[in-house]
Amino acid sequence: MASEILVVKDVWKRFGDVVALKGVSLKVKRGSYVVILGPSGCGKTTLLRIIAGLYEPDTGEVWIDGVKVNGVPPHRRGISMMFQNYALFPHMKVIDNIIYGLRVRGVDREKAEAKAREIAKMLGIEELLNRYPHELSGGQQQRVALARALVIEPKILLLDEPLSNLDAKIRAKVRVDLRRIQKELGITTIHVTHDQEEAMSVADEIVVMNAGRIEQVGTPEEIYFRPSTIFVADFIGSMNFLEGKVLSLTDDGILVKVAKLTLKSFNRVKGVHPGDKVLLGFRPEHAQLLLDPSGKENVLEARIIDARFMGARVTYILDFEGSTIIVDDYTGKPAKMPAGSKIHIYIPPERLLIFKS
Amino acid sequence: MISRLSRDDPLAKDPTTIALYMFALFFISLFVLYPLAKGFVPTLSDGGVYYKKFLDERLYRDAVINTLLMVALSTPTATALGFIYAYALAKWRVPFRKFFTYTILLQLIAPPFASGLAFLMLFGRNGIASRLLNDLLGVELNLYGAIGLWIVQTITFFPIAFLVLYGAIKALDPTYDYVARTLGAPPLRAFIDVDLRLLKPAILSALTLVAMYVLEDFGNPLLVGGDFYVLAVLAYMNVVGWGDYVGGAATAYVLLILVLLFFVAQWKILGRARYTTVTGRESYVEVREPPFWVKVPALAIMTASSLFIVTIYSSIILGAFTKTWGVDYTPTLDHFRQVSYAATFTLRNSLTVAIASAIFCALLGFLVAYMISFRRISLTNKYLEVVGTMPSAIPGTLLGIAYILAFAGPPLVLTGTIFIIIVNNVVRFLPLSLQSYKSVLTKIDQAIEENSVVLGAGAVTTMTRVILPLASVGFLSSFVYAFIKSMNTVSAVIFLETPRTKLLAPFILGLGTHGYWGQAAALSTLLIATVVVFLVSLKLLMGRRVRVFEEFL
Repeated sequence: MASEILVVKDVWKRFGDVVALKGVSLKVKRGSYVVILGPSGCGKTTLLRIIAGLYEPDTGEVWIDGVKVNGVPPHRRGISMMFQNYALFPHMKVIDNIIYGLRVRGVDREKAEAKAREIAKMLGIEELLNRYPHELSGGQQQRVALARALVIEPKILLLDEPLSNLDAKIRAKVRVDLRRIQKELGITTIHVTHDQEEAMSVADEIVVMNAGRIEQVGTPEEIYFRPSTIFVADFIGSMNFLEGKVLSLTDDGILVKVAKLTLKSFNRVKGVHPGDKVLLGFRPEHAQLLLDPSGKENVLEARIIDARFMGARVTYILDFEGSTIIVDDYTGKPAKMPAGSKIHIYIPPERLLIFKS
Repeated sequence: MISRLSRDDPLAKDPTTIALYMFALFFISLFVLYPLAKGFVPTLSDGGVYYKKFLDERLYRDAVINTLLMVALSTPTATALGFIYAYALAKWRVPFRKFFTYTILLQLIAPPFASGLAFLMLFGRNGIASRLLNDLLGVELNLYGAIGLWIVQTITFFPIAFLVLYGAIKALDPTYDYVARTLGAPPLRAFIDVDLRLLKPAILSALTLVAMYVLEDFGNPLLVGGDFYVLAVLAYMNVVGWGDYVGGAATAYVLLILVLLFFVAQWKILGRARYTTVTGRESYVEVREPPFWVKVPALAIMTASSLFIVTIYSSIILGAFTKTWGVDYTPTLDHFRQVSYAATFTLRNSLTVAIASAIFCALLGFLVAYMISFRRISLTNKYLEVVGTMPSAIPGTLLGIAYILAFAGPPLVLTGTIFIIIVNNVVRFLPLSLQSYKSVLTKIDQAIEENSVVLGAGAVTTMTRVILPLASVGFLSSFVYAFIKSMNTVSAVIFLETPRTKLLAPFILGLGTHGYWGQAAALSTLLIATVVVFLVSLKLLMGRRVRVFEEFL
């Protein structure tokens, strides 16, 4: 049994004049929780629907569990999908909604109901089985939809923006539940969202998409600490960018000239040579304010434009050689300093990222 | 609506508003309830002898059985055909879409008896198809009676089912079908479990509506039925053949009872079948094309039906302009010449009646719909709504006979005038008008009215200057539907017309039943052409505000 349950090979999809997917390739490991993350219009939902069999790719292949599924209708792919609007059958009670997938497979009613009860219990909806969908709250409907998708034991569970119709309050709880249930059942899950916090909190692996292409695939930590493109760096959290020029490549990293300074980064990027123009990036929470910069490398001197007390942190808006830099200070070490004064910031070389410009 | 009613309504105390409200109440009471009651009383005389005939006399018993049989046969076939058209045109990519939609449109704007007439010209005893079969194969084709009528009613009334079902199928969220399929249901199973179940309310109302039309239709049974009498024809025979108005009325009341039974049945079944569809945002799923073994037969049935419709109207036009249908196809205008006096006379009457009916129907519809939606005057609102909608369930035959009985003597004598015909049309087509306004008026915010009042406009000014213009789409569609219906209708007006007020549609029907096909075809062509010219010029004049069955074109 191959460890990949889903393989997508160079898939292209065009709708009229719009090219929704431009050569997407992806491998998903059995039992993992993968989140496809990107802004609206990036092609993430199209990709999900191609995996589900709701759209056919123009070119490229989709393999599920070692079988090529191009042209195979949704019901023969071993997937199940939870739609954004849940699409619970309004004319069926909750129990009938949940067992529908089993009944059409010829499972007898008693067995199907027993299984539905098991899943319902896991999701905390046993009380609702005899109600109609319109009698349920949004969160309850979502659980029923999930139960309906899970009960047929799909090889892959597809979730299309599963939390977007829920109140902010219950969203956090549902995230925890989704993750717990997925681990308990060990079911491969592909979840599409535009919400980076949602993605970070549930994913084993995040696939960041932009403009029909995959920008990066990695664990939440990799995506956060080592974004491989400017888009990813900017889309996930926030990032300060400075322009620079490569001075030299060293054993442990790279030296870059920024304004009159030389900064060191431990993050080497392929295909970058001395003399190339690059972008340097670092996150506001990774820079440290220094009162005494003497003897340290990777220190910038900046002027404070504004400092805002945000509770857990103080956000400094700084000017460095005409560029605006934002630094979040969680230590509270320097008492909030007045606008106009000079300050030094230290950027740890392991947190200074280099991007080809 | 609830929030609207729960607000205080200072305008309800305005004297002009009250006067108009009283007028609406008075009008629909006088012209809906009064004739129904007045016509009913004499049928109870002589110890119920009129109703006993339905137990004792074969002719009467058979008419009930035949009527029910025709409904039982035609309703499912017409609804099924309407469903196929609606599903295919709403969901699939259909080649020659216009061919299908325009043939439906033609059936909707032409008089129902046109199909019956053309059927006779094709398959009647002297029809060309019948003669061809006889000459070539020696087969004696006899489609007079139940079988012929069944075919004719199916092709005549399937567009009614289509209209109801098309809207419902368009509104059906395709996500349900996809969910069913991803859960493992094969396409057919998903269609049965999901689409069909969700469409159940719409299918039931289509069935009821078609049943209504078949039950009360008079023209086609008269033309094609032969010895197969239905209640509407029997009532006509009572009145026109034997001069027995009360017997005719009793027959029509029996017909009403059958109609009411269908409504009760629908209501009973539908009671539990109404679902609120719970969806969040609109979902965007591509509708999947059906497998060829579904699509090919469906398109074949549609093509055959639409070609049949084309044949119907080609026969009528051809019959109008050729010497002797089926024998001599020399082009001629003889038929038009022979009936030119009657044609001009009846067409003028019909146009006068139709235009007057359409205007009054659109106005009264507005008044009633406005009072129901905007004014809050205790219980009478419900009364206005119920009595205003009632005529949709009353067979035309009954409303025609009841009018002669009710308005022949004091307190109000109208028999023999053109007004009785106009009022009858206004009342019969009022429910359609109310429906057109309802969808428009519910979209108008009460605040608009309040705003106008705050700015100093009175209740009537607000009604005519603010609400009516906003409801102009409703006005125009009421006007158009009432016009088409008034031009084509036969069942009630055939009892109300006099030699002086003779109308075109009943005149054609008379020519058809007596075998004057050439002349009947000529006048049918004239009638259909008049309606088409009227619609096209109205459309050119008013542009997009005139909406005639446009949801599916």
